[in-house]
Amino acid sequence: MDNPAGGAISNSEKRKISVNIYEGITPEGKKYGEQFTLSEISDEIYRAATKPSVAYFIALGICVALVLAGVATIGYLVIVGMGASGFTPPSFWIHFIVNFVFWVGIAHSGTLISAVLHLFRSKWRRGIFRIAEAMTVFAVMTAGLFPLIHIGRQWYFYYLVPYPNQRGLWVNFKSALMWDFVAVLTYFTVSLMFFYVGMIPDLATFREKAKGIRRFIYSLLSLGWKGTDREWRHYNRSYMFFAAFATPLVVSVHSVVSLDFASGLLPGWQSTIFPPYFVAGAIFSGMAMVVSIVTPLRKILKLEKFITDWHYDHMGKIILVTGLIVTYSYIVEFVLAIFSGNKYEYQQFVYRATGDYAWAFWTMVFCNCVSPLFLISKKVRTNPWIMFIISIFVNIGMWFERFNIVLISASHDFLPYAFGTYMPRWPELLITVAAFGWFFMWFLLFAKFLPVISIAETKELVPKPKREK
Amino acid sequence: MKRAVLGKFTYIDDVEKAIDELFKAGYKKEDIQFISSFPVEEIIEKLGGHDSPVKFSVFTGGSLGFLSAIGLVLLTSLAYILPVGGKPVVAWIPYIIVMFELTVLFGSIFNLLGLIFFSRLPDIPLFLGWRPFLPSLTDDKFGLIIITEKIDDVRAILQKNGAEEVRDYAI
Repeated sequence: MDNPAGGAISNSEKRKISVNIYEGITPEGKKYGEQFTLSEISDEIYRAATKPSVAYFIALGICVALVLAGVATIGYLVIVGMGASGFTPPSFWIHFIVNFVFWVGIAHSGTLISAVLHLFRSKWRRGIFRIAEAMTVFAVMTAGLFPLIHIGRQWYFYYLVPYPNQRGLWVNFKSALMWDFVAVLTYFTVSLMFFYVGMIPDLATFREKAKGIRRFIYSLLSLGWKGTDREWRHYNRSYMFFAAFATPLVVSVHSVVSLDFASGLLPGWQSTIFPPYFVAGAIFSGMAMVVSIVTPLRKILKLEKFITDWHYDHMGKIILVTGLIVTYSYIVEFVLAIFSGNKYEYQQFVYRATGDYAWAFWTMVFCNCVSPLFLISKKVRTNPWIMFIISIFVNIGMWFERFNIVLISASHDFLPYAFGTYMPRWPELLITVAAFGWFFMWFLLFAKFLPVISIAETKELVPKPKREK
Repeated sequence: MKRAVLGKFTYIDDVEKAIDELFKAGYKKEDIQFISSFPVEEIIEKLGGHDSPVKFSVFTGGSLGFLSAIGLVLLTSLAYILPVGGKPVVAWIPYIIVMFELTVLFGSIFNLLGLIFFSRLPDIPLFLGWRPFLPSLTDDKFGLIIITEKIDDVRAILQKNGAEEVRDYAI
């Protein structure tokens, strides 16, 4: 271990530094907050939200082009029919549902990270939680598109909404799909409010720095926040309630998504392990997505001082632990299939590992079970670009996990007569890529208009200015 | 006539001393407002503690959500009889999910409304950009606002305790 002050260090000093890592010691031997002044925090975070570069506009242009291509493809599917997307028996629950579950999974870790770590008073959360919350909101916006695309006739979507109507019809609240609708809608609304409430004091700071129309927009968004002791008192309490609500909500929502499958009768789906397995997988993939976003973002916006090795170290630990839980879940699934005495379940898992989609299965195993093991090393965890590469592997692996669960069970159930294989056609592939364009388009807009790091919460880590030292 | 006196400070211990002296001079918590760009626990504690009536709005919203969910699932099940999955027409166990979600949803919405109401937001002139604010108070300075008729006395207390700038204005 390096001595921040230079020179040899004793074992007791080593222990002290090792304990202090929880305070985020910088290479200069300072605590995380000690390296900033109050005004520097406001200035730097406001600077990051202004003056977009040429590279920014190029990236935004690519994302918008992808979104337009995706919209055109959806239009094509509406005109030609869902058959053009490989939407044929037995593979009705295919690519779009894989994407839905993938994006819902991504969405679930942002609020969880923010809410749980807030309740535990974790200090390292402050550098990344705003980005994680934004990721949640945009990922739910992306996930919500896929059931709409999947139903093929988007104008019938209102059938899901429970309201009095002349047809005398009401929705079936005993259906897992209705639970999903209610849960995802609640999750989106609560996450959006949590995201917005957390930003109000920072928007007031932006209001005072901005000019012209930007200033007017920040004035409206900040609700005329002044930062009085009364406002802070209610704000702190309200934020705590949001965190307390969001924590069980996240666990419940991804559990409900897993029940879409677990309450089905297909081999490989009907399993009581699904809710905890999906929740762990969601945290795993979401944390990896945070790393995938934060690494280029901190470089482009020059925020290296705010998002440090300290944050990477903790994010790496979460990915490692949740990766091990996911690996354990994969093993348990196989053990249950082998020892359950259920031949349909058994053939399903043998088929996953050795059948037509074995390539997808082993890609998943490598990405989700092997690649996170490198994070045991602290050197790996504190190297942003290696973390970035591992996070990309995890994202790919988690997409294939959904592919394995959703597609293989649907296309290989009880009767050999009904077995089939599925390969995506160009509309699904284009819409999948367009979804990334949609997600990153919102993210790029967020990065240039809103505070990407919490100003108020970062200031809380700075030693308070006192005349009497 | 009562006016507001605003003092701008750089150091937090100066603010604490000024508040203590204002208390000694007979001012009450409700006469004093502290402004900062981040929550300063010790001052919030001095000026009224951490308790907030937001909890009542959260409880009201959560209860309303729970009761609405019971009404929704019960009435829709009875209005449109749909026996599926071997479950009874009114199947409470699957409805627990809907009840939980609506409890959280309404509780959160009322939480936001409670925050806005009890914090007296939006501050219309600031909200619509009609009135300027002191930018430094959302940056690195701290402010104390005292509602008083004795402007000179308060001004003296604030300046004595390290206020860099003191101004008064009509309220």
